Amino acid sequence: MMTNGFRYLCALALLAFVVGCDSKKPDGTTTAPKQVEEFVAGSSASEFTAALTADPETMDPAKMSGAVEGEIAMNLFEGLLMPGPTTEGLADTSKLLNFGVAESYTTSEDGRTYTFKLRSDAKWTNGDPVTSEDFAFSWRRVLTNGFPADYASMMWVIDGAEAYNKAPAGEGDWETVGVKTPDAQTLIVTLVNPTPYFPELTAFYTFFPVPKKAVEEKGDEWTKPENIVSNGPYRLASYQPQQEIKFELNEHYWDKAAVNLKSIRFRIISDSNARVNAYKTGELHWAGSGLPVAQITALLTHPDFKQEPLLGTYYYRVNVSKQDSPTTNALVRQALSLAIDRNSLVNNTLNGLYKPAESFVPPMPGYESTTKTAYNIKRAKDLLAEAGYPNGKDFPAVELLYNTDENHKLVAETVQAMWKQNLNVDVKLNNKEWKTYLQDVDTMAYQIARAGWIGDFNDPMTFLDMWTAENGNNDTGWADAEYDGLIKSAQQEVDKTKRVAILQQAETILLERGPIIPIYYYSSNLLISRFVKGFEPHNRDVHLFKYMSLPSK
Amino acid sequence: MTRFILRRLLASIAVLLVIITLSLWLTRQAPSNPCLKEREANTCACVKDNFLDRPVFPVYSGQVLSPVQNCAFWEPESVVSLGPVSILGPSEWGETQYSLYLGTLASGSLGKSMKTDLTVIETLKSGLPFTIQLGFQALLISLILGIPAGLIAGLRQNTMVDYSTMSVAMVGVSVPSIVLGPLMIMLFSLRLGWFSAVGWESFADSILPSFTLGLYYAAYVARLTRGGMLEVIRKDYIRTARAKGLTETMVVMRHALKGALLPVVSYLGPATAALLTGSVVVEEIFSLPGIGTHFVRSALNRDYNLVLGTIILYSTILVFLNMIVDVLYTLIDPRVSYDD
Repeated sequence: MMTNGFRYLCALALLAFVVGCDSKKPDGTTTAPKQVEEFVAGSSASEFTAALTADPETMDPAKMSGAVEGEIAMNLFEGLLMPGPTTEGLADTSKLLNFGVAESYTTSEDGRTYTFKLRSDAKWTNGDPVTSEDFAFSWRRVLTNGFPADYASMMWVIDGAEAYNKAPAGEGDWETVGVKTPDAQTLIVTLVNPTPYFPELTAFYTFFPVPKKAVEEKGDEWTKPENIVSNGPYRLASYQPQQEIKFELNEHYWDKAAVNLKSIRFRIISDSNARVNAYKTGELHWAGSGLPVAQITALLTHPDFKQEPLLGTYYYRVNVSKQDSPTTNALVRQALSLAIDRNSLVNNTLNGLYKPAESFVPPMPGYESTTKTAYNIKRAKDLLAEAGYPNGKDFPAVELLYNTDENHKLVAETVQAMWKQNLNVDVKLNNKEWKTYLQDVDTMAYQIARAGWIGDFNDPMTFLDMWTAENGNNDTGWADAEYDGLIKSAQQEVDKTKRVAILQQAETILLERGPIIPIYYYSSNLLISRFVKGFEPHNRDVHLFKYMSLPSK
Repeated sequence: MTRFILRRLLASIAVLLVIITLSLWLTRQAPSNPCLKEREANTCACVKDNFLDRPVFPVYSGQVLSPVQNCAFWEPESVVSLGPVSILGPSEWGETQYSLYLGTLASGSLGKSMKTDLTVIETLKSGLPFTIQLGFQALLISLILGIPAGLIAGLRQNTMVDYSTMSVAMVGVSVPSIVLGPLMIMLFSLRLGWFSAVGWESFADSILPSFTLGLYYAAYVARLTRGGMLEVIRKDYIRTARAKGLTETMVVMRHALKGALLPVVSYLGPATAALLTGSVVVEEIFSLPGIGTHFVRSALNRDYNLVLGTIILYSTILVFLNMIVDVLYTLIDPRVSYDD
């Protein structure tokens, strides 16, 4: 470490260099330049330090919906079940989860009733026990009409929850909702349909418990650092907006013996280049995801670089509601999809940072798509001719909308060139700022729009039910009675093998005549110190600090 | 003087009110709204929470908001329609977004951020000290570097010293901080390892950003000082001073300097304002916890309350700094007087 005085001298040297009123040249030879390649992650951090890409919008798990917020909630709070350390190489979805507040659960024969037994030693940071009543209170809060819970609709799988959520505040009858608490350690949940992914939902932050007492006492202020009470491995020690968040071990946590990292520090660094810089100067152990492509490309061979498959798909959404647009024709959509060389796009344009999309639902434990995308120019041309545009003749110019971003631009330009070259079809590119883009998509004021979807749980349903006619995320005007019927019967199917077969059938329809053109599967390209143990690939980018350790050197 | 200050204060408040009204209207003109998310989220609750279902002013045209599924929104009880224009009944003028916002201001609050759980005041309060310190350090740097450089160049007009100083100053004025900042980080943080690359945890962390922000103004100050010096040094009273037999140092320090610095002083007001409000880029590059970042992000997020809060804060600073400079003027230059 240098003294401040010396730093001043250095600053003065800089000044002489820049202003040039001094004839003395800056002397850079006395200090041997520290090579960038030699950096050791976290070498100048006093405790385990991770980067957050933004300030959390909220610390209330009931309200949140973003990745940053999720990172906070997953470590401060604990659901009935919790995500396990990894999703790699698992064929059985039950291995995805570990027990959290629940120590066991049973499922009824029809798959509609789950009975959770809560462990008696689960405690809040203030020492109070976590009871089934806390869960019922929290879920009821999420489902209260007018409560700003972004993911309230995720709870609609519970019997009576949708009606309760939609009934004006005070008019719904909580007794009709399938959440029962016969005693403090038992929670019985009745679902609308057999929902095989319900256990994973309980490991999602919207389903996490919030402390009834604290919420009732403090209202919206309960998440302030001085008020917050949580039940996870960590407690919130401090929060300075735009600077840092500190976690410390929750002394009342039932499994605290298993927690290795006793304190965590988050640095809030929104600029992605700044994040890489901070990593290189040793201020971070984990640089988070969303790093700039240019910087990452230079670090591909670095031992700290990790690429993990993500449960997400980058795709083009096609508006089928516009009568004058050629894209209303399923043959045209099919042709456009067939004319994209995804391998070349991913490997040449995107430096291999992602995986070419072979379907809309990315591979996940327990599901594999049966229909695959293909690159077939001949067939694409045939289909286009069949649609009435032989060799692109008379094909009206189509507009491709994307939100302003270097990466999206690269992809759009490449696809534009492929469509021109392979189909002789002209596409105009149109980029808009994020919120304007969102509005255009929401009001369907577009023809083709870039989109991305990250699954919320390891079940194809999170990718497929959004394309039913009445789903709020559809935004394409696409409605297919056969597809909707398949989704509905999959929701009601008890037999898991049959259910998967139905979903595969639905996805085939989606790929053949649906409003989408898959481009690539997301992956998380990240930098984490190679000395950190217990950081394993997770397809939803959920990495609990509970599983990690940092052996002291 | 007191009357002048009072008059200026009243005028400033009127100016602020106009700024608030205009900005409030402008924020609502931007396409999209704060509640729109990539995924279908609980839009109803968000819209109602933020009163986005109300008209902005009592007189409005078209629909207030495109309908959202299953939401019961605020409905005016009495409304007169004149063609495309609708006018609210006077009893409901208090229900418009504008009057609700003025009510919030009157209660001494700037409202709640529409994106985060923090209030606007909490958000700005945590960042303001950093932005102020950064601004003043940059100002100090610009003066400490700019004035001597300008003086030397002015006194040695058309020599190598003058040319080299002014060339560097020209470069300083031309290189934007978005280029200078990353260069500084590359050299002093990544290559030499003297400073940390991001954040503001100790005083040392503020050095690189202060220089990045201050060098442009240093160059500008140097050019101003040189110009002032060239003008003054040919004045009769300087010739008189020399004729009296004063040493050259005495002539410069005692007589020339004061006149030469007048343009710099009048530049100080706008410069301070620009330094305080212009740190957006530097804050972003160095990931500093200032308020400049909010200025940009809140607009991108359509966080109406935070946009307005930031605008109110900045315009208050600007209006009052300008007033202070006007007052200072009378102290430096006795020819200026504001009394009738």
